[in-house]
Amino acid sequence: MTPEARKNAVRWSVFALVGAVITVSLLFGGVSDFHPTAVVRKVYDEVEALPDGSPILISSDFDPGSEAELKPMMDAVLEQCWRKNLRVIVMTICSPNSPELADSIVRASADAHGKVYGTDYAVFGYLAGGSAPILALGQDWHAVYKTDRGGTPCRDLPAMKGISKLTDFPLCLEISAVSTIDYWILAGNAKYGLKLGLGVTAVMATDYYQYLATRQVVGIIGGVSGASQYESMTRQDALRKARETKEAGDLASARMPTQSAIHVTIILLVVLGNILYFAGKRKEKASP
Amino acid sequence: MLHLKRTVPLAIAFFFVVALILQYFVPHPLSEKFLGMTQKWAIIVVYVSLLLGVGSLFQSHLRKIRVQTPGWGYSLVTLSVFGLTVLAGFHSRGNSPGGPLQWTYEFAYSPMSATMFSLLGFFIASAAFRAFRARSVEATLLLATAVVIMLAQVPLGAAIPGVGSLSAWILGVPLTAAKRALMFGVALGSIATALRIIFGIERSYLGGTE
Amino acid sequence: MSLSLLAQAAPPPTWWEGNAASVLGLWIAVGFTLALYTFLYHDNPLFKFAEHVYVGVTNGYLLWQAWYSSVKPDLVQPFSRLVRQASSAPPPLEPSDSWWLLVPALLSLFMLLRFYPKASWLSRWSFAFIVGTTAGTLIPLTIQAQLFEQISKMLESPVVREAGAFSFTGTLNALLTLLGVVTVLTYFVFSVEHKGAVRVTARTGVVFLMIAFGAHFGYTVMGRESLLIRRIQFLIDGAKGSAPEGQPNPHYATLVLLPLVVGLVFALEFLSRPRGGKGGPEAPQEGSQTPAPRG
Repeated sequence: MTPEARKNAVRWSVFALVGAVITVSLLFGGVSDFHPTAVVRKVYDEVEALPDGSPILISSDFDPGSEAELKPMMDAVLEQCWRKNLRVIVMTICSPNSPELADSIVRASADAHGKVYGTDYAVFGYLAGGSAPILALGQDWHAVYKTDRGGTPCRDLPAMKGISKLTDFPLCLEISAVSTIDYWILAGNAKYGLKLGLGVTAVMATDYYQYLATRQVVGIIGGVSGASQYESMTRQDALRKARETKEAGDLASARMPTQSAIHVTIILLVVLGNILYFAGKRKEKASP
Repeated sequence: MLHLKRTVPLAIAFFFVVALILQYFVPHPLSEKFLGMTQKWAIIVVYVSLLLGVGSLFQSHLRKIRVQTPGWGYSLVTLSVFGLTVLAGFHSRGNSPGGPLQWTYEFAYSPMSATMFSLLGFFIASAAFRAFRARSVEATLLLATAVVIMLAQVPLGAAIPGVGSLSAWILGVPLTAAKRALMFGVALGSIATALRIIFGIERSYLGGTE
Repeated sequence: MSLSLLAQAAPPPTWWEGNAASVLGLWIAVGFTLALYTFLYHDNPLFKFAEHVYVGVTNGYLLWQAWYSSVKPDLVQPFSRLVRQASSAPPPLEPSDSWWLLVPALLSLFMLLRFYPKASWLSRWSFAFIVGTTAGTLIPLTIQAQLFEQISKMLESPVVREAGAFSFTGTLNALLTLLGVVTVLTYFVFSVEHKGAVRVTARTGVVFLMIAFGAHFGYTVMGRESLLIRRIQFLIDGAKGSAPEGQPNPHYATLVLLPLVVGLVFALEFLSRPRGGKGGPEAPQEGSQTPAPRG
């Protein structure tokens, strides 16, 4: 076997192992109950502290590429918002491909809770320019978003009552897969003092811990693990139903057993890789 | 002509950098209005700049088809699908797409985008097996931290006594310290770049020849 | 509630929203998912086809989003209202309708002139505007948020009190954080030779950096695998002959399409293999064709 063929064989074996572990684990199913960590709980507490009927801004800055991580997170947050009768306003500054996804997630969740578009929630379109839309919305919301995504004028949306600029929102949750978080911290929090909670992909989670100590962000929900932790606080009914019916739906907690299996597999692969590496080194030294 | 090509853009950049920095220190209603107006302009211009990408893609694939470079058939696929998607967009709902364009988003763009990103799940496992070696003290430290974090993020690992609190400590102390220091570097770099723009030293945005 | 809002709440269903379109869509989604996964074997014509379809769809969609989200509401509609003000039945103006919009309209036009070589230099004005406004707004805010607020936290007394009592662990952690910041910064100071005390300090900084990178890697593994788990879940659901209420029935799409896709890859490889040569698949370069997204 040539070195190239051996390399390919190793690569394909690892791919096959990863695929097999995930498939088998998903077929076995199961739903975890993951207790929330302090940083995730802080976001929950901030939402919980809002008076009933308050507006809450959700910047849904992700597209289908990160849907697997962030949709369950958004569902879990929305569940809490509906329970507290908050007026949910959704916008996006991430990509032109984001509003469609945000719209479908919010509508599905709202429909399941009997919430009415326009009164209980509203969805706005994409704004380009990074920090520019945040700075402009901080001056005058209506000058930037004249209508919602469907073309309804802002003044006809009861959910927008009393909102004329960004600071009229007592809390903004930035659910993001891209660096728009930096814009929200700089333009939203530093410029206008907007209270900010983060829901981010796992890849980005470690980039924002330094803002926790300074209270520039109130908490961080990181990746599918953070989503699962949030679900344990807001979606107990859905978790119970998933355990009973074995229909997992889009619950992050239903993917956590598989996540456990693949993490352990990768750790074992790292250990095995190191054993083989050091054994090879020893053999190399022993041979003349 | 040289003034129009070089001096005017440098002056535009200089004016807006200086005016908006001054605006930060003078939060008068008039200056705030100026900020709002410029940002609204920026939203529109940046949006149109996105179309540059679409135009470049169109040009590049058209060129490949014209000179029939190897694989030009794929360019034909891209342009045909692009054309079909544009056609689908003529059916709209208010200020948002509906009908066939929404269908295209849901059943073509969305699954393909998610699949493209998910491919990395296989490659990261392969890379971990083939390249993640405890060759030195530093590499061992990196490896050990990664293992603790991987365990702490799943219920199975978090059930091991001490893993959760060790992970919280790693994220709250050494990670916070390192990220804060790195952020200082990035922030200082950004300030230096802004100064270069103000003084006209940074001209890369004018194009390669300047 | 306005009429437009009512209309939005109950849009008339079209063929594209019906069950047949959803089932067809699901088969296409499963097919493209499998086609993209063939890259794991190696770069092949089926993967390339799916990849180019993806690029075409993405850009076509982006074009329309640009129209719906900005060009139409921010430029076309305001100018149309402003122009028609002189007519016999002028439409009501929005508060933000203003001839000042000519500035971004011109800058947008200049931007697009990049495709016309004789006037492409005008796009520099637009780029200068974007660079100027971005730098001008973000620099003071960066100094405030990323330097002053973070430094002021570091300058606080490291003695931590919890519930009024001195906290040993809290204080130790505050001191360690301070040590971490100083040592990591020292590591990046290259104008001083790293020897003696500076070397020790910089090496300590490396320890903090390695722990940070390790944490980042751990989280990255979680992120990448969670995306993969969701896609495999999608394929498993697509292999079923039934679906939960309200969702389209996949009619065993994965089971039917998987052998077809695998067969097609091998057939195309066989056809493209040079006659008489040994052939064999080329090793895929990891990540060479895949995007490298942050999230």
